[in-house]
Amino acid sequence: MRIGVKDSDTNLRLRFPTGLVLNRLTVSILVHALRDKDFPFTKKQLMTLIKAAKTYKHHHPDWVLVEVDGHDGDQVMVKL
Amino acid sequence: MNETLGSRIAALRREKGLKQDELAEKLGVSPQAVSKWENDISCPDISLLPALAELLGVTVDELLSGKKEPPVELVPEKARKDMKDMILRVVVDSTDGDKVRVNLPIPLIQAAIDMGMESKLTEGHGPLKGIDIQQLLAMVKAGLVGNLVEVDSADGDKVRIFVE
Repeated sequence: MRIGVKDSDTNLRLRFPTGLVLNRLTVSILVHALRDKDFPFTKKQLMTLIKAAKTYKHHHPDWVLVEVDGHDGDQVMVKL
Repeated sequence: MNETLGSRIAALRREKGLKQDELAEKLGVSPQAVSKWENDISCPDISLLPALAELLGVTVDELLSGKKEPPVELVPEKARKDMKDMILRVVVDSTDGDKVRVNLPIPLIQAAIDMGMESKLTEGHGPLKGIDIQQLLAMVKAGLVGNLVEVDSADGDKVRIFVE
């Protein structure tokens, strides 16, 4: 997974294994932490989505999930 | 071939069947100004770009970059990509000048729909509200690709959904 954040003061690039974030443990933690905040997804739903995302990524390693270009030059990029 | 802004303006103007002085009149500039743009002697003022793009039937992005967004087309069955390899791109151009692109693989969207999460995909997302994702996927399954949805929100944001 790569996350890039760029603005006038910062040029941050984070790289770490996608599996570190997209796994059963983090999903459990997320669902548990947000259970009182009306989080709409269940653990099972999230794991199904993660599996679909991982399968796509396996065949398309250049897949960029989100790109943001701010009007003031700020940029954010998330690549799984 | 290196296409310049001027040559693009000239080509698009001719496609629209407009003369230089007609385009100039619509934009409130002189015909000489349009001629200078087309010969790359000068550039249109930035404040004129939205109006110029609209008259020429393109987005400002297409006008400046020369990259044409895919039109909608019905791909014959034999030439279609596997749905597992297709992607749905949501592009939001806000009035502030921010640009957001979200690239969602079709299998991911299908998985969400299969789990009954369809409403969560568009619920609460302003201009996306009311877009029938299932209907959109049905169109893709039938072979439609390209710029499937264009929405201009009340706030002036532009949202486009295209599939490739």
